[in-house]
Amino acid sequence: MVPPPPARPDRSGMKHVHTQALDGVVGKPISLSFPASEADTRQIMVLLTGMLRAEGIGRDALSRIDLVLSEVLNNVVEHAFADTLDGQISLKLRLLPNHLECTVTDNGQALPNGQLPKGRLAPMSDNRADLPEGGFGWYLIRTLAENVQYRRLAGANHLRFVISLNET
Amino acid sequence: MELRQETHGDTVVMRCDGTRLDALVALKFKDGFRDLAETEVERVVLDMADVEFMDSSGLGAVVAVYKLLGSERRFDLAGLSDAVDRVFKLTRMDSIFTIFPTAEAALADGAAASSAA
Repeated sequence: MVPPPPARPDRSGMKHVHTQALDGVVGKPISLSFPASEADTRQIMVLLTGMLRAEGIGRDALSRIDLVLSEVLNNVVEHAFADTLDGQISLKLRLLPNHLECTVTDNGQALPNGQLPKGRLAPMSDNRADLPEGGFGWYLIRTLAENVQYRRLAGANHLRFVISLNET
Repeated sequence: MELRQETHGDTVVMRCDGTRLDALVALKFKDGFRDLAETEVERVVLDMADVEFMDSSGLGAVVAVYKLLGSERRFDLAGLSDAVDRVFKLTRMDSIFTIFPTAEAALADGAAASSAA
């Protein structure tokens, strides 16, 4: 008896074109490994967003994915590998019907206190000279991604999170 | 990412012509305003119409330029894409800047203000 074909993911709430590639790609992890530099991070993000756009991911979800992944990867470059130019980052993505599951692994320095930053915005100031120029990254990550989890295992950082594909 | 400068009366429009204002170009972006900050220009409009993506590094660079230009100068933003606008809104930094839909709209605001004076 022939098994029924796998169900097509339901993206009825999203306006996009369903591509052939999606049927084979959904659920299978994509693994990438690249040097921990800002230039490599940018290249990877341009590649990934192009690929996900071709898979039919909508503009709003793409923009959130681009932003969250860029923030996470730049954090690794700037903090985990602050004192070295030889770092490597591994990125694993799993495209599911309504989510993109992401795992970022690196063997750089651990997060301070082994914990995720709370990501609170610095207070606003009326004084131009006191306006914050940084500290936005973790706030953006925590706001736009879900189930953000960090573990330090065998000398490596593992950061996992999920990004909803539902267009808002 | 290049910054292209155009003078319109007492206003300089700086157009950022890269599509990504991110960690890779944040420093170059800031440095690109140093010469302008040394001049007497009264108003600067940052035209971001080409910018499709801005991350927290890019936002930090825009804030740094705002500080660099000093409180004696007007510094406004124009042409924010949805993605860029989202970052300003989420971080509440949209309340700091006057944001125009286009550089032309920003310039028209300046002209109206000076003709009313």
